[in-house]
Amino acid sequence: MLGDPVLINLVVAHGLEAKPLIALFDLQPQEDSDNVYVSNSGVRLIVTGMGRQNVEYSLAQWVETKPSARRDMAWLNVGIAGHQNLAVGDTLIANKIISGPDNESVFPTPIISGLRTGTVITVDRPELNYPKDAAYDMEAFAFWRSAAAFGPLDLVQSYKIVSDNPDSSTDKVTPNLITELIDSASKEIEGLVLQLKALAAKQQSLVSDPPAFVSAKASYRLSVTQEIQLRRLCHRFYALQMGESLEVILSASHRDSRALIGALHTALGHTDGNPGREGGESLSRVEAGGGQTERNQAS
Amino acid sequence: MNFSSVYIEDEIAETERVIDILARVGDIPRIRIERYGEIFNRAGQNFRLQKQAPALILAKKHGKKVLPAPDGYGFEQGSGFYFSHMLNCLYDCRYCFLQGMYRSAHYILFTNYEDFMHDILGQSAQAAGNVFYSGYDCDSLAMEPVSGFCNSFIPFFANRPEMTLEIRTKSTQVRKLLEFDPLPNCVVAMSFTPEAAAKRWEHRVPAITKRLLAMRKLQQAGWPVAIRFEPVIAEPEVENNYARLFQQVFSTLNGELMHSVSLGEFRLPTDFHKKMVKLYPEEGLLARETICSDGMVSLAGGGAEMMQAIESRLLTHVDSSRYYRCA
Ligand code: SF4
Repeated sequence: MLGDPVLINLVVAHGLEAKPLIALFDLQPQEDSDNVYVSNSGVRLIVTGMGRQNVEYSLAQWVETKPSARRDMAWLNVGIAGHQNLAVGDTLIANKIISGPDNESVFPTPIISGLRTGTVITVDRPELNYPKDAAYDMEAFAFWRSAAAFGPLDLVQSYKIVSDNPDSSTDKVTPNLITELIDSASKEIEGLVLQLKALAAKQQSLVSDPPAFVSAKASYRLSVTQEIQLRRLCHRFYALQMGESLEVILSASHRDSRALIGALHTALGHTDGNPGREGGESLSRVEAGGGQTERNQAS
Repeated sequence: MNFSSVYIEDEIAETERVIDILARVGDIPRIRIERYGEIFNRAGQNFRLQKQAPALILAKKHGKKVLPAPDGYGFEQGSGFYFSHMLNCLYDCRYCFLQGMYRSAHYILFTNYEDFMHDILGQSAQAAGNVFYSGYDCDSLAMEPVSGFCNSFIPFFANRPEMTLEIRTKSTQVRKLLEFDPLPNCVVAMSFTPEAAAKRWEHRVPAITKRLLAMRKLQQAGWPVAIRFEPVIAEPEVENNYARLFQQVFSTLNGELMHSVSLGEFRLPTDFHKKMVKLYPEEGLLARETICSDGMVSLAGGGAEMMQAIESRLLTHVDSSRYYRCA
């Protein structure tokens, strides 16, 4: 069984692109699947097949078979592409992906630092004329659309390695060249995966259940509403640096879940705010004017 | 001022102002877009994540550009309106409602200033003595070196003494303002919280002393300056903290020359607060006990008694005619 939770899904179109990555991240085939690989270090690889339909199908199928999978993980498409101006072996992170046939665009969030960025145009057939200053591939658009519908949009990225250009045609893109290209970009890919994993780990830690909540949940029968209340109360104790008080309250015996939640509320209520002005008061504010939202102004 | 990228709407890409701005933002990736909404309004974005590497979006504002300010928003001097030539802010105050209001942390700069001016004029034609607030959904001056806001709007208001402009800011970027002759109808309003609160919650905001020095320069040059003591956050020692802050402010600035001072308590629309809690579950301020009333959240432990105590301390420094309580 795999130890670490998965933090990033790598998505490639072809087995030739997958091979160097399998070695790089020490990936093992996932039971019950012939196109998914996993590692002990939080990386999963999905090999989709070439072209947008294969990507859409593979990702939809993966999502279907993993209905309980975490949604807060990163997604990275790695693949080769043609380019009008970049040299073979150059790399880029997509900051705009255009669907060639209908000219629709999507925009990966510019969250990655230190790498060249550029436009990727996803086409249905290999582009031999490279009409624009962009990378040409066959999957990025479908990948981004599918993954962004599943995971956090900001953590869905596409990374391309230039395999052909006007001076070096697609005929020269051999299996050996593909392996070589991905191998030569492996340092960069590793760095990119690390950056994305760190961002995903941070996201996951923010939405994770606090340990105290997990143990309380095991000890009390909770309704759905109570579960939400208890989770939030535990978060609040930690945020208010009251972890020790939380432990004390949880270790005491309470008649039932209601009594537990009441005790937690009371403890928070008594320590909040200005000690000299316990309790506060209900503030009824003036109505917002002109349909605008009432709030403190910015700045 | 570092942006991760700059998005540019096709419609304005060739305008002189956009070309100037692009020359000022340096060598960063430029991405053409049709409308800013395709970046800014997307579902599934994370404000906190984006705040680590925000981009600048250059866009054209369509539709209504000047809106009525909520009642009790500012000083009484005719009707109040606000306009937002920018959305979002370079700074990162943990109490700021912008985190709960927008899906994206990218900065939008609407570059069709002339359209804003047109609407300001239209609004002003309906009644005399209007006040126009800038800095409602952003910080007006923080991005001045890029936006060139003052260069456009100061001459505009200089020619229209019947209208008042209030520039709300926490920035020390006053150099551009100081190049102009002071305008009696342009108030620069700086917001302050006490040192402890500023250190804890006002990330990336210039230090209080630096902001006060910037305000002093403006005041000495003849600009009307105002101080907004907002948001007041209930805490132990809150009254003493404000007493110290008042001392600091009024020993640096001349209270008698001040346009106005105000106090306003921390409060947020309930749904903004909920979103902010989700973004920052570990933030103590957002974990505090709250009171909900009429769709607004305020902190337990605050309220009228606290505000009155702080108000009386404030009024020992400044004449009550210059004071108002922000609703
Ligand atoms: S300076 Fe104002 S607008 Fe900027 S983050 Fe702070 S409160 Fe928000």
